[in-house]
Amino acid sequence: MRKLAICLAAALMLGGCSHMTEVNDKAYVIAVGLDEGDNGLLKVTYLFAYPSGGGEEAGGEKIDEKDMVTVEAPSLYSAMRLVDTFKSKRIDTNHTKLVAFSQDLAEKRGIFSYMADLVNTRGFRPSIYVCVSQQAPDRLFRSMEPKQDVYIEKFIEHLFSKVADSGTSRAYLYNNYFSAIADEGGYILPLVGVTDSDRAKTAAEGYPYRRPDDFALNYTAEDVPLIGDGSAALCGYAVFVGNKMTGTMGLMEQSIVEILEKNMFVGQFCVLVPGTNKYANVDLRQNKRPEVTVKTGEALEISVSIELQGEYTGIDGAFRSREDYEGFVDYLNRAFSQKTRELLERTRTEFGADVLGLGDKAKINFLTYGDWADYNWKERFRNAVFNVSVSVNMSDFGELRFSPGKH
Amino acid sequence: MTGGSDRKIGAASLSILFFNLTLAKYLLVLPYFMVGATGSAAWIAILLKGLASVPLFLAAAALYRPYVGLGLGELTRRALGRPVGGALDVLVAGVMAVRGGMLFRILTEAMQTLETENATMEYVALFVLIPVLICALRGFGANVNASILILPFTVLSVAMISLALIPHYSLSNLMPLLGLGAGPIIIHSFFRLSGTFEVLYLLTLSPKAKDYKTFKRAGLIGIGAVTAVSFVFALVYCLAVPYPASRNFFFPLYQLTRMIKAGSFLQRMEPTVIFVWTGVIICGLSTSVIAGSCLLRAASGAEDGRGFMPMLVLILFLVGTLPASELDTYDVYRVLLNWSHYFYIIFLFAVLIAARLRKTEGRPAA
Repeated sequence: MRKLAICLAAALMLGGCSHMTEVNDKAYVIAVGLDEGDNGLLKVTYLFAYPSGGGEEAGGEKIDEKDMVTVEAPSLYSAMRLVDTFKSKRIDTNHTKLVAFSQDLAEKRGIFSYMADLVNTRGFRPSIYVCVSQQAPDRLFRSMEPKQDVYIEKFIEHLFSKVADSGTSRAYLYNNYFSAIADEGGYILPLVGVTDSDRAKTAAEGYPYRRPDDFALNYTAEDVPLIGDGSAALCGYAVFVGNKMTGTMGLMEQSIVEILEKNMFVGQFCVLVPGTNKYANVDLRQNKRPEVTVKTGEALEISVSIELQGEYTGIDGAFRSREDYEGFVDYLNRAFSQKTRELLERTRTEFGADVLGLGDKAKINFLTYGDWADYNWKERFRNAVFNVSVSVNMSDFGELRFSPGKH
Repeated sequence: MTGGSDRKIGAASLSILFFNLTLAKYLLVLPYFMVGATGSAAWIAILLKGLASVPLFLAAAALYRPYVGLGLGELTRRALGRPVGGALDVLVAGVMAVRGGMLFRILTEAMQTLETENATMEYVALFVLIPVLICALRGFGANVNASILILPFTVLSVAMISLALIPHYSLSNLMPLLGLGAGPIIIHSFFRLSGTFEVLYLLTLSPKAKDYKTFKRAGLIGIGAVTAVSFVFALVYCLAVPYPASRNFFFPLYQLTRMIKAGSFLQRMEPTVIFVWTGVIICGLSTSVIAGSCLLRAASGAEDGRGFMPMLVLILFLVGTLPASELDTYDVYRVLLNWSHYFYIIFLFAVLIAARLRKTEGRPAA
């Protein structure tokens, strides 16, 4: 009897092998792109993993046209079903790293329903990266040809590492979904663009871009001087109010968002020294989370206090005296305060929504959701007053304080 | 006695049985219901619910003191007479089977979805119900052993989820502090989803306790442990997933496990966690089957309750397959939790007070 029971148990265990699936039997999707299709359809692009053989040639996966499939279908699901019918292997999205929405789609149709579909699909992990692509996703994926990374998925991870260092990062699918259905009325998503290789030629003929006024990062998302070999790069944030994308944030604003969310470990800033035409290079670190206090009275008052630690890495003959040096630190405090206030004012006036999620800090002032709803955060935010203070503490240890040589 | 030997068990063993019996409900379904009812204050509601169970249990235990050796089924029959008491015993055993059936369906759906997508529900059910029946037939001893084996994995998995999700925590997710208001918290902690049913279970299993002191200690340890684990879990859920998004995930344990991503290595933990929780529910369901058979044995006056076990397992299966979908199962379960509470509390105290008034004779526990 016992032997029979063991045999039966073994048969049940081995039964699992009858439906086994080998790794090679599946086509693994690395990235999914969603774009506006014709006649109200959705254009979905799948970038599949291309298994390389290993050995000396395994140093980089080449993206071939054959590894990418674009179909037009009414929805994400139907697109997947469509591809599944003609792809020899079964499609598996369990290892998907990135979902990119085209800017066109984000601006015209919005992305929330697609994001909800992704959240409801078990095949897509909560930690996949979500972004808006300035170009059509198929072009973005074609540009993802890793030079310094062995695999495309590593390339994608490195691409988003600056905005995805914490679990609550804005680059992850679930966090964006959480923000999209929160009460603040808006949120931001990483914006990715393709570096323009044609500009390299122009650059050789003469620098085509405007000279930055104070911070060398003062570029809008559309204006980032991307000169490269045509690969993907982060160029700020896409701003969503309600369901649709209504604007962008540039590189300086991306840095400010990183600081506000304590996501910046080391930031290299190149700052024009006031009264000169020289730049000082400064490394800034953030050891402390910014203090955000929200006074939810009749008038909404939001105070932000930021502490940064920094050191000079290059001063390009900018300082000739101790006064120059100390004056520059004051200038840094003022400049960062101004940049932060400008960003906050921009969310209030231009976007008309709390896209940075400051409302989270205000909820502590309310006991119940009823009180919070009655306060009408969305409306109040449009009339909010911002107080920003930034304190940059420069470390002098082992550094040259004044510029050596001729001035 | 019902299955196995008549060997008495200590407070630790009885509390572990109780822990596994109640934890499945507290972890798999309660956070979802509580978040829906109280918003971001679900963790407060679950803590209050646990605390509210303590005076309820102490009051019931004080009234029950002379009857620890009898068991609830036998006491009901003696206190209310054979026809009424027997009928009530059958009714309570039926309600236990219906609740167990809903829990069984929720687990089966989860297992099927996550681990055997191509299999039918009945096939997966086989892997749950056979161990439940074997464990119940082998009696308390086997059940306690299996529960002790599962316990460290259960605690470890909750600890792992809590630690691995630290990067996702945000204190602002707990605000506003009272969530949807003090009213819903009180209603759902003290009235709708309270722990009366678990007290009923404990009273049914009481003949296995060495003495009254053991029974009381087991109850308090069990309630304390379940409250602590479920409170930690609810707090983790509220910290990691902001409201209103949190009310959209009707299997929080699964969603939280999916969110774990600590580097490339520590992720995709769902199958492991499902394995642990399958063990918890199997132990819980088999204890529930033993409790049900105790009640039926008392109602029928049979010498041995083991004969009722296959029937109870069959009822679990049939009841579990009744709802059309998993969402329907949750709805039925929610209605059961919300409203059956009033029946339990009236039944429990009616029996205990009647027994005291009629001066029903007890039986020494040891």
